[in-house]
Amino acid sequence: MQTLSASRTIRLVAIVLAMFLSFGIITAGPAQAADDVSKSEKLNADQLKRLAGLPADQRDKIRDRLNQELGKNACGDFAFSTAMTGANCESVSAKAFGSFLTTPEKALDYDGTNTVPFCAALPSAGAPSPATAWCVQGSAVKKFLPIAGVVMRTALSAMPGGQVVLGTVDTVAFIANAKDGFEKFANTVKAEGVKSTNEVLNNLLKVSVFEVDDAFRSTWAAFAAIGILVMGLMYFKLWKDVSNEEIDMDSARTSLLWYGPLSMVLVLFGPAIGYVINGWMSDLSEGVTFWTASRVTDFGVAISRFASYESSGAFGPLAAVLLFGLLFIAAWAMLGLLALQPLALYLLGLGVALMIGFMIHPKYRERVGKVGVLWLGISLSKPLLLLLMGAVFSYIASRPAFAGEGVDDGMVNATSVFLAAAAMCVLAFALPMLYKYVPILPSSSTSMGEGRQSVAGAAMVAGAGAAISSSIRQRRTAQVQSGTPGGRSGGSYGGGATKGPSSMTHSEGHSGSGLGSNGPGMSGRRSAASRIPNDQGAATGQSGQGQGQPETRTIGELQKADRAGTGGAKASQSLKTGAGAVGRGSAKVAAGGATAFLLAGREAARQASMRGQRSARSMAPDTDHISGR
Amino acid sequence: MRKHWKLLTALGAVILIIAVAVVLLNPPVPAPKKDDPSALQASGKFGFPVSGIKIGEGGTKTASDGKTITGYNGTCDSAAQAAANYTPLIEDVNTSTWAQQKKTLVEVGKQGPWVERATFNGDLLANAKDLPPGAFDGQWYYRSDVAAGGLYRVTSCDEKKKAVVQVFTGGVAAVVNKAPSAFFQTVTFELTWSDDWKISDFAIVQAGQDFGGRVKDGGPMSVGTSFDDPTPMLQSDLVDAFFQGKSREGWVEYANAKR
Repeated sequence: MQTLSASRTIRLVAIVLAMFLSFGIITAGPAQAADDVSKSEKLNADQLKRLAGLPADQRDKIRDRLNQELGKNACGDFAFSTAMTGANCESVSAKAFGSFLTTPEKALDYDGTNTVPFCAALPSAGAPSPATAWCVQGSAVKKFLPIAGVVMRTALSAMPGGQVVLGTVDTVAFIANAKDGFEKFANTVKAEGVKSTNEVLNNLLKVSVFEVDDAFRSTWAAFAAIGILVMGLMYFKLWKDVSNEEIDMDSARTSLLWYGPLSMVLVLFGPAIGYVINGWMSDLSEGVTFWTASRVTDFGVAISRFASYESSGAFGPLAAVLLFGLLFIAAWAMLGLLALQPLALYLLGLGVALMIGFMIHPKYRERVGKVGVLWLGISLSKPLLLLLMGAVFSYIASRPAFAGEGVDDGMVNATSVFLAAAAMCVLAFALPMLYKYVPILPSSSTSMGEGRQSVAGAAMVAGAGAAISSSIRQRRTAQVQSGTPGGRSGGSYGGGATKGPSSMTHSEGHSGSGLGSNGPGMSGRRSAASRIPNDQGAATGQSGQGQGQPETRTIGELQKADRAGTGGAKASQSLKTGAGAVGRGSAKVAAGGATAFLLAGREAARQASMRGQRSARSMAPDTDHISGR
Repeated sequence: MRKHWKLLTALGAVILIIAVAVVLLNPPVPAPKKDDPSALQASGKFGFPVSGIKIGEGGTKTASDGKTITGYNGTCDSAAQAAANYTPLIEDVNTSTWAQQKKTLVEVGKQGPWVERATFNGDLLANAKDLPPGAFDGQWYYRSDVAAGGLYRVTSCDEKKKAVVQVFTGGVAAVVNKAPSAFFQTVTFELTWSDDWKISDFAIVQAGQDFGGRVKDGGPMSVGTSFDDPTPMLQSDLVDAFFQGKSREGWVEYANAKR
């Protein structure tokens, strides 16, 4: 069984990796196509973000260069150029443009239709009076080109910051005169590694957008229809379980009057709620993206250094193939991860629609909550990933090998490549880490600890959520607290039992001796509970908390311990638990007298052992209705 | 192994359901219907109505340069013809014939501050001592091609009194040290009747200006568009770009516009 699950894990990882890579390749298509330079090409949103993230001095240099370009453009006009006789047409014009085009973005946006500020700035820029007169007479607009296409690329790539903005890196051969095939291969791997890393970084922030649009809504409608059919079946199952006394009327009432209508409301408004939440997350991502973009830019500058690395010492072809290969894989994995996020959200959303009928059955209710929380978690993961990305990249960019002029040492350079690759690997697999080390989810909201995959599990696998869900499961198993509101079928009993010092009332059974001060509802509940020993067991198991002394062990631990034990071990464990509960309530017990003590001890032990059986069952919920067993 | 098999089956089933649902729920979007062009717009290639008047006609005489047509009958159509025929006087700059052109301009116009603006470029270039290379076809620096633009808009017209006419013209402009390049722009005229249509004002109306309230907008311009070919030739995507943010209302094609 161990080897089986291990091989399954490996297979899952392989599937997820394959999807990473294939999605990366698919999304890379447009990125490559964007390289074709058209005459009117402008900077894309990513390039603009990088431009905005450049240091101020680089931005000023780029702006001046662009204004120079505009000046050259204006001086192409014969009349203007002639009017400028006696002055340096291009530099005076550039100065005039610089007076109102104060940022590179403004210079790139200037389309020449509004010449008024230019004409106004000409005299102070040192233009001769005929030039000003030419400008004012109106034909200045005859022929003017905004900076775009090849001209823009040429102007920008003359600047180191501009190269980062454009994402163009010239790679030198790793081994200057490659003699054999392997050395050539090393050259290829290096060129590809640096190029694709650079490309991936440039496109990183634009690949993943999940939108709750009309297409999603209509798909949701279809899935929700199936979900409602499932809900109909669930009603049958609910009544069957009620008649088998597996669940009590109270739960059935909650299901019918509360979860039934609620699930219909969710079917109707699910996409709307999803849209709102998704909007928040998008805003959050957008806010983080800007900060991250400047870090990515720093990192991009660092990566572009790799382009100039050459073979030296131990940093030979084999090391190059391995390290740059790792860089290559890490870069694509990271892109793939971001590209998969919308898919996971899409599929999980549909999973919720499919499972919405489960909400009416107390036993299966948690599954819907689990998938819903997973959906929330994945949509929250993007801003978190971006934050983490910014942090990791700014760390890398500040390493000595990347700061200043860098280091002329083969080993240092090799380590820096490894560091960059490893950092990107960390980011690619950061989501599971986030859930492990950043406890963003309240443990009660992930109230699932079951060992087996459900329908949602399949969607999760497809959506690269498997790792996350297992992390959630781990966390939850350790942390889930008792008294999950509206959770398991026994939940309401636990809540009722912890209301007052009623454990003795329970254990004294049906006498109704008036020891406890229960509400009128309790007696009915009690009678129901006495018919269902399992549930009563749960009540007593939690009754320890009602005594003021907090139960330090969580249910998860108890359940684990219960599951681990077999036969006599389990019985003795239950006895211990029961005795513990009794011991903690000893003050009350003493007041109740010796008879009560004996009764309580025996009853508690019995109930605890029942409870042990029940919890062992509840740990592995029934998925037969799904897998068809 | 049994469990494993069932998991895979469930996964396959889910993927199948989703695939089928996605295919079924996304029928191909029907192509949007094209709006029926109204009767008025049907005639021209770019969707403008075509008038019966032609560039290079409408008058009975010629000015002293022997080619600029004068002697109009005072109708609004003749004002549109006069504007087209006067456009080269405003737009062209050929240093070898500049003196004659300036003389003609004065003949067909009323004196006013516009004359200085209209003659600024020509005077500048004709009087310059040494010009950088770039002139084309002899001494040409700017040469209009009214038929290439071929559109006009009569903004206001009072027969035999006053008319404001905009002419959309093509042209070729010399570029310093480079090959010449095509351009398109709108020249706005105010014509006043004085036994003939005479230019009383003109402007290349820029963005945000309105010729003293006499026009709605400056008309289409090619500023910001680069042309591979130095010969001005309109394409429908160019027309769309030039009219970006401008009104198409009132623009009419000359019968002999180059299309």
